[in-house]
Amino acid sequence: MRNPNNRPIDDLVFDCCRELFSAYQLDVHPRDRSDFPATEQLAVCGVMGFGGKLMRGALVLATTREPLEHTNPDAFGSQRDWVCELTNQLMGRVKNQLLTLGVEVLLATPAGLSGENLSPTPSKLRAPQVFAAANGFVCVWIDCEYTDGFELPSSPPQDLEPPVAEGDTVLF
Amino acid sequence: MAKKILIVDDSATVRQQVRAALTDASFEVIEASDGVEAFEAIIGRDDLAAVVCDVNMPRMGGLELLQLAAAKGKLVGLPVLMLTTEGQPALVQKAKAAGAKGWIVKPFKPELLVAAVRKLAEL
Repeated sequence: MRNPNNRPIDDLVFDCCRELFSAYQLDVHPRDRSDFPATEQLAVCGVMGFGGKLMRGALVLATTREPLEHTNPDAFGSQRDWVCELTNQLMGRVKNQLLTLGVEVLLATPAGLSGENLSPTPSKLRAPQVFAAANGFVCVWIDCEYTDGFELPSSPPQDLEPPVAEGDTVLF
Repeated sequence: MAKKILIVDDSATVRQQVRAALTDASFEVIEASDGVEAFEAIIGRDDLAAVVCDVNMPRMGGLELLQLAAAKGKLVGLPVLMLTTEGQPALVQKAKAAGAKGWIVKPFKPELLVAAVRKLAEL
């Protein structure tokens, strides 16, 4: 059965994914989940676990070659390393958004996978969110389990100190 | 003589990105891929002008590195700028308490990173 909390977290990940790629000057356009590319097209995949008192799970970012090549600041760098870093930055954004809702999670370090037929298989028959980007595809899954009775809040609690935003510099 | 900056990040791509920004700004750059390598560099050298350091890394993270280096008295006169995906206020405060001098959340703008490093390295 689909967890009733999936929609808010899916929406949050959707926004974070668009913002992340936009920060690297790449517009990603949502596509229907049925447009998921053939698994042989996926070049590399990053996986990052997270956990906290209220929720835990993993984020998976898989892409074809084109979006990676378009965004990688090191033209000769490793695609595997870059997808790990993008996964790290995407999960960091998700964490910061969760913090604004008063939900705290701790992050693992990302792992990268590459292969000829990458096909992540999250639990509960979760379909990926699919984006078209730079003549290729970006796919994102977030696989969450929640503490019994927990619902992702729709608005921030009062008196919450906001996280430092992406791109911001704070000097002490 | 160019000031030496130690970059600590487990991502080779990020190290390359930071290296490019800092060398363009006439800094000399040394790299470490985790806290263990960075601690060895900090202990073994006395010519570093600043450190740019990630938080979440395998083997030893940035906050643990800060605490170890501070305990050895190596952060006196050595400013550390954290460069991370984390923006959690509790972590920022923990880093500040351990001796960090700044915090930037990735993705970063090279000019802002250079401005922050320049300011810290010239203190």
